[in-house]
Order: sequence, then structure tokens, then C-alpha cells
Amino acid sequence: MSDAPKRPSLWARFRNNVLFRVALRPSTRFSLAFLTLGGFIAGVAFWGAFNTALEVANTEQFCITCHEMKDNVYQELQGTIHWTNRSGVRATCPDCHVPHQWTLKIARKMAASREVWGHLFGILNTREKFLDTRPELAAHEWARMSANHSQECRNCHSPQSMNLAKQSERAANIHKEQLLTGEKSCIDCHKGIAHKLPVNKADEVPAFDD
Amino acid sequence: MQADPSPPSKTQELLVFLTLSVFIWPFLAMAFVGTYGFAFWIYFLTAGPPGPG
Repeated sequence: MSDAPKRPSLWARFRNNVLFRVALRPSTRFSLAFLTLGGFIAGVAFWGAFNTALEVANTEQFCITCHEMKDNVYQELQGTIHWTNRSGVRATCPDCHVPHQWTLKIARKMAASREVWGHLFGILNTREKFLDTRPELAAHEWARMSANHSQECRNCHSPQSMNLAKQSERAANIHKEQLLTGEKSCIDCHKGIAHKLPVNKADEVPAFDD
Repeated sequence: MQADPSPPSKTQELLVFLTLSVFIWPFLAMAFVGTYGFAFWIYFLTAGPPGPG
């Protein structure tokens, strides 16, 4: 046993691999012009592919490939003004639910790994499970939008462009007192406008059920 | 460190070049962006969601 040659470690074998050594020394066969051009083209191709993939993952069609989205929130959106209206402009899922700023978007995409986990293990795979979890899910989005002063609403709507004279007196007054002063932002009042509100079980009074 | 027995062949250099440019650097770039996003996600989980930008 003791006179057997010592087996080189995995790292030593990797380090001595001919291709590893080729990678860390100057090229003997290819010019710098060729190598930089190759790196440049690979970089352009990578960046294009990365952004294309990011855009594909930021479409409504992508969102509703999961039945949790398609059968619940997507159906509810279809009755609202953010789906059809007189001007024909509509909001898709990512317009409101994925931040547009790059860092925040990437953070949201990584956070979506938890949704992949939830999908794989069927955490919301029935309507009942979805409705039971809805208060928590809604609370997350409300907290997020309240913290960023309804940034996703303001990507389209602007308080400065609102014509208060065209609003009802009640709406105009409240907007003047609470929105234009910066005290509140859209989501603080306008909850449940694109999807149904969660039902708080504690508020349900069985005696009032038909 | 032993001296190289012979200079690398053109095939070897091309293989290493393509492996690096097509697999290793793109993989590291994705890993870097993923780590960046993950770090912000964890940060927001502890510090609360980001404020107005």
C-alpha cells in the first residue's frame, strides 16, 4: 500500500489537463484580431439571447402557461377596465407585476423561482388553495406597491396629467387632499380593481349565508 | 511544473476557444446576473420592498 504512487488530487489532474493549460497560455495559432472578433460576436449573441429570453418571460402568454395564473387571476382581469375600455389600451400581467427598472426586474425574476417551486409542488393547484392563500398573496403585492408609491400604476397614470375637473367632485377632492399632497398613492385606495379582493374568512358571518 | 512537451495543436486551441466563448463565459455571466438578482431578492425580504425609484 505504502509504496503505491500517490494518486494526484482532482484539482491537480484538472490543472494538468492539456486543455486547461491551453486555455491559460497565449494562443499560438490564432491572431488577437480573430480572438477578439470571436469574443465580440459571442458577446453580442449572448446579450441578444439574454434580452430576448427576458422579454419572452415578460409576456402575458408566458405568465398564463401556468394554470394557477390562467384559471384565477387572468380570468378575473378580463372583467375589468384594465382588460377592455374605450381607448383600447390595456395592461398585461408584467405591466403591473414586474418592475421595469433593470435591477428590480432581475430581482423579481429570481424571486419567481419560488413560484416555480410552488407550481412543481402544487401549492396553489386548486381554486380552493388559491382562495385560501389569496390574502397573503394580495398583501405581498399591496405592500410592494405601497412602498414604491404605486410605481407600476404611475408607469401609465400620472397625477400631474389628471384633469380633476373631469372627475366627480368626491374623487377630485380626495385626489387633491391625499394623492397630490403625496400622502397616499394609487394602491392605498384602489385595491381590487384588476382582480377580485381576497375574502377574509373572519369577516364572514355564516348566519347571513343564504 | 513540467515544461509542455509540444505546443498545442490548432484543433486544441479552437476547442478551448469555443468551449470558453460558447459555454463557460455565458454560464458565468448567467450565474453572475442570477446571483445579483438573488442578492437583491434576499435583501428586500429582510429590509422590506424598495421605495419609489
